[in-house]
Amino acid sequence: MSAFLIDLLSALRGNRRAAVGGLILTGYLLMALIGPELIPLDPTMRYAERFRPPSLAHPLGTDYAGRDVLAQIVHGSRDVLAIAALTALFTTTLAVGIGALAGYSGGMVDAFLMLLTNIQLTVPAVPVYLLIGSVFQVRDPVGFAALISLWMWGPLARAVRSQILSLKEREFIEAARVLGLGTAHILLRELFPNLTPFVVIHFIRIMRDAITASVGLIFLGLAPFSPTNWGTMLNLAVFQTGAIYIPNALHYVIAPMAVIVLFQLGAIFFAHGLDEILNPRLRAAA
Amino acid sequence: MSRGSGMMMRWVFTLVALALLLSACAPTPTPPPGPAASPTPVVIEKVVTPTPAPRPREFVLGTGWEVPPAYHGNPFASGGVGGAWWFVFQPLLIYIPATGEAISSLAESFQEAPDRITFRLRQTGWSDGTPFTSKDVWASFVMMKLMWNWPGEVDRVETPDDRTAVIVWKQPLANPKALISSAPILVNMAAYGKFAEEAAKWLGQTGPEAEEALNKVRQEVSNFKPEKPIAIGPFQVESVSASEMILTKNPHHYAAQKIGIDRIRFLRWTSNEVMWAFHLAGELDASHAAAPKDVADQILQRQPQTRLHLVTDLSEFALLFNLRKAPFNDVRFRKAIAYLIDRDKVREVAYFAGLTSAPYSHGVLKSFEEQWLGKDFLSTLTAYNPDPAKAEALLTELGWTKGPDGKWRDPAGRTPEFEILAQAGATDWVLAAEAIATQLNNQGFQVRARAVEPGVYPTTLRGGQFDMAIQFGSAWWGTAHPHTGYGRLYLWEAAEFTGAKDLMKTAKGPQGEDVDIVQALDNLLKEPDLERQKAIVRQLAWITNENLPVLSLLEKRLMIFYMEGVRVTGWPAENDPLWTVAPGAIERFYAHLLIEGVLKPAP
Repeated sequence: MSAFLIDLLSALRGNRRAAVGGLILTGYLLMALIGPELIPLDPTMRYAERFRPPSLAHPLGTDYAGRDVLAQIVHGSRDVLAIAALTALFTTTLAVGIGALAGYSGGMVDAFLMLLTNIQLTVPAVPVYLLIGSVFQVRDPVGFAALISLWMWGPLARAVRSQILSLKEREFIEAARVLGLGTAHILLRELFPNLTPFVVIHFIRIMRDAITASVGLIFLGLAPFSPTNWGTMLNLAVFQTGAIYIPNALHYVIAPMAVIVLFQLGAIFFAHGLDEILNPRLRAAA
Repeated sequence: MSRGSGMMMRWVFTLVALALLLSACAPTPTPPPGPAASPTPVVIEKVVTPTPAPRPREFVLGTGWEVPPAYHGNPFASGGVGGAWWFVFQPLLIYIPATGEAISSLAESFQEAPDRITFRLRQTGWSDGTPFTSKDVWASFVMMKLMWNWPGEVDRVETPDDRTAVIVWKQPLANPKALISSAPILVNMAAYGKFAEEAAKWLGQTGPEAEEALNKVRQEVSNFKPEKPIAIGPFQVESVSASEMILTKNPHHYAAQKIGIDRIRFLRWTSNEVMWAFHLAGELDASHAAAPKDVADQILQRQPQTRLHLVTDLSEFALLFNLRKAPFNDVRFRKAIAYLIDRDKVREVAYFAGLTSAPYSHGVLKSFEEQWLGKDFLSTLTAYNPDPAKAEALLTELGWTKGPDGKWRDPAGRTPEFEILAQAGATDWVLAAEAIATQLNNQGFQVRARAVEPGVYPTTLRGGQFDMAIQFGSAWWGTAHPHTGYGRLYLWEAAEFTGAKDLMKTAKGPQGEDVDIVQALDNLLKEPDLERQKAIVRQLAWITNENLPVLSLLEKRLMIFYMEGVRVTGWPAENDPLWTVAPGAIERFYAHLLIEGVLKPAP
């Protein structure tokens, strides 16, 4: 694994897109880890100071209640990134598990798991979330991520199954079978390492999608309303407080938008860069 | 040549090649006709500039309706009529909450007796050409009773002749005119008579046979879907699309000649933000889309002919406590919360146009406080001004302690987390919940706001699955009378949400007397004497303020944006009591202004 990481880091140095993406994501990680210690958040509402333009005291201006926008973004980053990363972790684990088992086992197991996958892909997410939300209360990022993951794993599970179906016919797997190696060994030692690049790229894409999904769930009432969630900030700015119609409040619309866009850009760059580095066909073409 | 300039050259070449290719594909220009071979007489035709059709004298509003093909004209079936309601239907009289007087509408005159009102009807007609008679009044009330089980206060409608209708009450009412004002005449005998006559045979009877017969009629009514409503009001529906609904004048209406506007054009009201955009563009003549202060300022600045008028909505936003659940089942805890909330700050952020209810929470709307309670009485009530020391004393009395981290701990030593629910999409409620959560968090509690999907919000509250919630508290819709507000707090919707319906049947009054709240409400409903009504209201106000089943946040005032002198002119003066007709049915107010010729096309 460490060899893989060393290889990856050296390859990143040679791929500008991946490097830029990695740099952006590292910046976000640092913001979430140490930002809240450096920039305090004062949630007190000061109506008279609402929609103040960017200044030294408030580098990204103030919101509809006179609170510092930068502090909200920094403090929101912890929850937003935690939800994004945990959702990606849960979704990927579930999808890889189901996809690999279906692809490798074939037969009835494959048929049953693909039936589940098809159900997940065809039934709209919102009613399912509403149903689950009426039974379980989401109180923390783990629960939030688990809820999002529950109806997000289908596409990746299908893709993993296809990869496994293709890989398991290859000579090295045939050889492993002839050598009498067990299923666990073949799956964990032979097949999964070949899936790693594919899964890493999807992991980052799921992180990006989780941010969008989390806002929807907040406004469906399935998760607590968090005023520092970037998506919530954007929703408040555009719809609830009408900042989009107020010329001197545009900073409040642009700030959360820019943070989300930059994060997505970083994630896309990093994912594509990784694809170029790790995908043998793309690497050969480069 | 460098690599960059080589790339540039390739781009330029590609562009030039593309331009040449496109120009080659262009149609060959037709040569102009050449001179005629033989001279022909030249005919000089007179160029006539067509006179543009006169612009229809229209009034543009925003409202909602079912998009075709779901749209239909049956007011009793789901999806019918939409926002055209108060233009196509009209009440017998219009009640003005500010003055307590009633203006004749479809009735030419009326006479009140303790148990009835006798109406002399106008000579007017339905849009299908049939004349308006007392039988239509009878049919409307029978149909309302059949389909909505409302209004329960009406015993029967008598029709001594074609132009006289008598509405008889089951018992004397405190404010019967307000009820009539909110019940428009909806159907005529020609189209709905068969349903009304069948229903009348069974209404009031009990037993399976009657129930079965009534259900059969209800089903038939629900299945009846005429394309458009039959109008008794001043306008009729002309066309309905996904984006616009057009109404034109009802030619048979008694005021058809007096009404200067040819048509009403409704723009589809999908959300307040859409209405703000229409106002900013000067596309709307009036709407009551609640807007934050800065958006309102933008609208007034960009459209200088737009005015903003604030009128009571006859309702208040409140923080509802779940009385079934500890610690909210203890009045001292609820009082502590009341002392920790700065309600005026909540108003600023959530609904700046409202009137802060502070320092009381007595269930009488702020703008009616003087009228119903008076200063002397108010001074006897507990005032809940922000006061952390008083809150701390109450919490300490309850066994709560503040830890070294500044967080409040309950008697068991836990730091409980609370939630304030608000309906998702109701901007003002979500912002109020968030503002209150922030204030309570700053005082050592752990509170989070949660927006709940509108479809499940009432069910969630009724099921008691909440700690605190933002909802309407006291609301006087339809009657403009405190009885309706207290009914809501102790008997109806809000009481079902808080649990007060079961848990607050009795309470101690101001003199320490036991008060049966249900009985007090019944007495208030039947009491014709205003002074005796006030005495009952004061008793209920004291109970409400000292027991806090809800904490009133603010009295909602409608933000009516209206444009003067662009398409229409003649809006009433800002102090005209007629504006108070708007709450609950703003289109009724607009329609009344058009019928009376007050609102006219702009020159």
